[in-house]
Amino acid sequence: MDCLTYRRIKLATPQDASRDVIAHAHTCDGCAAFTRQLEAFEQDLHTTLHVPVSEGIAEKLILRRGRPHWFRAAWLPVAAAIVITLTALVTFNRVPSDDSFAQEFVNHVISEPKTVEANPDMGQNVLTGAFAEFGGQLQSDIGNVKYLNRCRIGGVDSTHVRISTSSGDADLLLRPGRRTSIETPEVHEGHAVVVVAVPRGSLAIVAATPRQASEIRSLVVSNTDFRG
Amino acid sequence: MKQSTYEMIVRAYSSDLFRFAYWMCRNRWQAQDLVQETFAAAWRARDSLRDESAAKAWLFSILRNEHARVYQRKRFEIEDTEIDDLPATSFSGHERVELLDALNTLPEHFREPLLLQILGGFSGREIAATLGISEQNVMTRLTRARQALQRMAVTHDAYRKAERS
Repeated sequence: MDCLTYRRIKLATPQDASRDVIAHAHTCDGCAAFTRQLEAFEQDLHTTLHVPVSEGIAEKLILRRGRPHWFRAAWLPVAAAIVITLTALVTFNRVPSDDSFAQEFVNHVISEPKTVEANPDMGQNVLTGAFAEFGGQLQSDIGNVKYLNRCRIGGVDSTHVRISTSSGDADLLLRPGRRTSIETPEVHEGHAVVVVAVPRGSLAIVAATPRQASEIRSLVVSNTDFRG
Repeated sequence: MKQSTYEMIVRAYSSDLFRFAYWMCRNRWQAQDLVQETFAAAWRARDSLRDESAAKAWLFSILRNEHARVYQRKRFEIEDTEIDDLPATSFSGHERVELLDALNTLPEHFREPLLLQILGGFSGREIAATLGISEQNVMTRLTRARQALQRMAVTHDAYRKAERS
């Protein structure tokens, strides 16, 4: 087996352990090094692709199939209330570090099932009102508002908005009090988060990727006057 | 398919399907919807599954169809070209964030077989059957997907290092 064939096989199926493949790796130092690097890369790839799955997803799917619509409608807010209450109880009275501060927003987004049943578009007025409450003046449309709710984040009454922008979907979380800025996206639980200090608290932007989080941050900051 | 069998396959495959859906649409909420729609469609079509050992591939196919239906995906036929060179270039040092970015920009015709292989645990032949292409074509796409990811991850990493220095 030549080196090119070996590398093609390993790149297509890294787990291939056929006799010819193993024999070639034992006789070729270059391909052995290639394999070591590929194995390290493969491990990273597996880790990245195995995003966390919401706990109890299977049970929810089973429940949803067997229940009438009224049950779904009643069950989701109850589950959301339990999750929010537990989150608030755990985090109440705690002064978080910058790192856990960012993670708190991600944890909230993951545990907020109501955003799944979002509206098509609630209009810009709700976003204008939410930003105004935190000392921001929205100057032009930044996307469709899919969801808006009052939530407890870190034991504080906050505002949770879900928007769909030209750069993708994101959750905007407006939390009063502590003003923190995190410009370089942090990744927690497979979500990217940046935080903007606003006059009456902090605005966290949680998106699927660091690039999206940065782009949506720019979109929000360039279209809003946050001078209070 | 009995209710108990259905519940068994939901428990066995919902996590794998969610991850596959997540990387297909790169959105947690849409992924949840897709998985829910997939199992709803699977239940409606339960009589068409004759061999329960084929349930996993069947579910992944349903999810692909649901994704195409819901997101009106455009299908691009591509012609796979020969791989000229496969150097042992260094791709160590990439970080998870870079790999995340690279995965998000990987074209779908490369990403999909890779996801089916890693998250679904399918063989080249099974992926070929799911995608309706030849096994050789699947192998070429898998090779090129990993090459592209390594290249993109290295480029992003080098760019970030240059930015920091």
